[in-house]
Amino acid sequence: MTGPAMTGPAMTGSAQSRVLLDGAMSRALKVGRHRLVISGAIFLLGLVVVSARLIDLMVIGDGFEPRFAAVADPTRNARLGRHDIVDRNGLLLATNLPTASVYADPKRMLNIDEAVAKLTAVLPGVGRADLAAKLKSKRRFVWIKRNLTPRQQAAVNRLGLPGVAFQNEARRVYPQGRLFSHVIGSVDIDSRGIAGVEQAFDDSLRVGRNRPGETLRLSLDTRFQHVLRQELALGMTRYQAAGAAGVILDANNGEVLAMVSLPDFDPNDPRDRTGAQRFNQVTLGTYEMGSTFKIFTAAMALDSGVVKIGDGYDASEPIPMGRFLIRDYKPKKRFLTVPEIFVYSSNIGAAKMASAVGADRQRAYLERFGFMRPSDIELPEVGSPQTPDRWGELTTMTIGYGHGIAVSLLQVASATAAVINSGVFYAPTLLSRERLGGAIGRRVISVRTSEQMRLLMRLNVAEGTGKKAEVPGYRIGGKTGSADKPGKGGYRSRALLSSFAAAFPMDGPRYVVAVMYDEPQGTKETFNYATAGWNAAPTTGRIIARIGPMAGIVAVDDTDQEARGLLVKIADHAAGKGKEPGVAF
Amino acid sequence: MKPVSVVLWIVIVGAMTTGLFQLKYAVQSSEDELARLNRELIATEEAVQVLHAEWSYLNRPERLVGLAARYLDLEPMAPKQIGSLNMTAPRVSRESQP
Repeated sequence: MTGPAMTGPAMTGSAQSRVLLDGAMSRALKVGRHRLVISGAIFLLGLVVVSARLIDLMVIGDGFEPRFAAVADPTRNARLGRHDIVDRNGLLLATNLPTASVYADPKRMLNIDEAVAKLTAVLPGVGRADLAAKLKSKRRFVWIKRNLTPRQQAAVNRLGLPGVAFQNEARRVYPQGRLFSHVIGSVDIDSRGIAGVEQAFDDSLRVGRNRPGETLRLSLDTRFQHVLRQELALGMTRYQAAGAAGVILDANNGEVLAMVSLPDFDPNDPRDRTGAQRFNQVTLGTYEMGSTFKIFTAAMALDSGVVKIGDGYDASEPIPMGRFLIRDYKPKKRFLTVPEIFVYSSNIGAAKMASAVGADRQRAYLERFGFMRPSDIELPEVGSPQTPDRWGELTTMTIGYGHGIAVSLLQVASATAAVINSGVFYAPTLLSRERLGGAIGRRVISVRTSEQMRLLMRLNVAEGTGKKAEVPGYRIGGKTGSADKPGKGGYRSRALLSSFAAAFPMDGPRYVVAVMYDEPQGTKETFNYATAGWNAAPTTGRIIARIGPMAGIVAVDDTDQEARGLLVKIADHAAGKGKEPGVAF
Repeated sequence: MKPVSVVLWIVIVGAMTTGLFQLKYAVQSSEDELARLNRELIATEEAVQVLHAEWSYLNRPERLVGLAARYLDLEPMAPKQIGSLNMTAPRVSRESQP
């Protein structure tokens, strides 16, 4: 800008002495004056703009300030990427803890061999050769170790190696350890759900930019879960079983209060996981349940009206069916009433009852009980039931006592709930029903049939195969089942799957408890019996004796007399002496 | 333009400039304060998270069972210990006695 510098002296000259010049001088002066005016105007304009901006900032303001302050809400990012999971009482089951991971940029490292030696000295579990190979590769980013402890982080920091840095990460932690392994599942190293609830609710558990934070509250009860796991673990050792599984349901809305499958795994330790440990025997495994299925055979027979509770069938001879022979485990060799068939668990009686119901109706009832398709539980590990392709007479009869159809333990538990809760089926759920807006069920059997079934199941525990599940004071009802496990080309006689489906208290059922042992062995304690009455039933009794007081269920004194009275009534009726028994609870 | 107004303007602009600078410094220090508080908040939240996890860990039923057995003279509740009000004996008032 030479303009102003040149016109400076000319301006003072023209102001003091009005000398008229012409020619080249005059033109130069004119040019100088124009330049002066233009640059003066530009400066003035600049000054005005600056002043206007000053007034705008200082006096007027644009009202954005509160918005800028609000953006800085720190809680949004502090949740560490994944929401917590809590049980129905708010006890933490899964949470995130902040950790640091150490990584390296090999290009910025000075001496790789020295760094490897120093790092492996302070970081246990990092292989020397492995790390050296990784650092000598051409990559610019190499994980050295994920999720350090604070002490390890301090140690690495003290080494002061160039090219080594930390990244803050979050680590999923399960404070309850193995207690919930199958239900809660686990996450991979990048905090993505890979099993159980963690996988099923992965989307809503992940903290997103536009997602408000919400803790996932489950229907599970840590106390019940602990009782169930402890008793199953005890039973597994006591009966030398290969596996054990159990589930506790709220009979009146389908909420799952506890679910255990043993062997299990530690979700905090990703290495502690074999196939058998990962397998959820409650939801994923489907099994031929054996006699436990007679609950549903009796329910459909009574509900469809093909048999009355006082009627019965001749169970004196085994039924020949092709190359099979349907026979009883402990034959009574006489006419049995429906309660007797149920209480003594007669296969012949159940097969005849199923045959009377007929294939079509049996299929329709099984569909209503939820056995024909996978369970609706909110878990990725759900097994599809194996149902027969051809539903002939033989199939109908074998299904009557629980063979020829393979279902999951959870399906048995939720169908049992429907049978005893006055006949309404609720899909099992891991979420609290309050949050789901109440329970919506569908009627599968009549109130009257349900009352009769409660009577039958109570009798089985009071007088029948489920005797060892009896807890003085609680009216427990249930049904045992011991099925031969299928093997190569038929059934294996020495490998049993014993199960017990129970509910209590029978005068107003609150909870359904279903327990299963995989290949239990007969021991000295059980007089070498390996059937459900000797393992699954007593375990269920012990579980109920512990969770009953927790749930505040009032014990009654007169259980025994009342149950005996009922048996007498049924026997009287069977003999044609009395009236058909109502429900006398 | 009169010199007075020019002087006035210069004074006003100068005052506002000073004011703006001071405001800027004030905002800067407030921002630093906000950032510090946010860091503190995050650190506290993380600490709370850790404490929650520890609380849950210490509340593991198996641990509580062990502690109760060691330090308490109590036993697990038995079914018959639970009762309801109508199981109690009816109240006998003085008037109803003969």
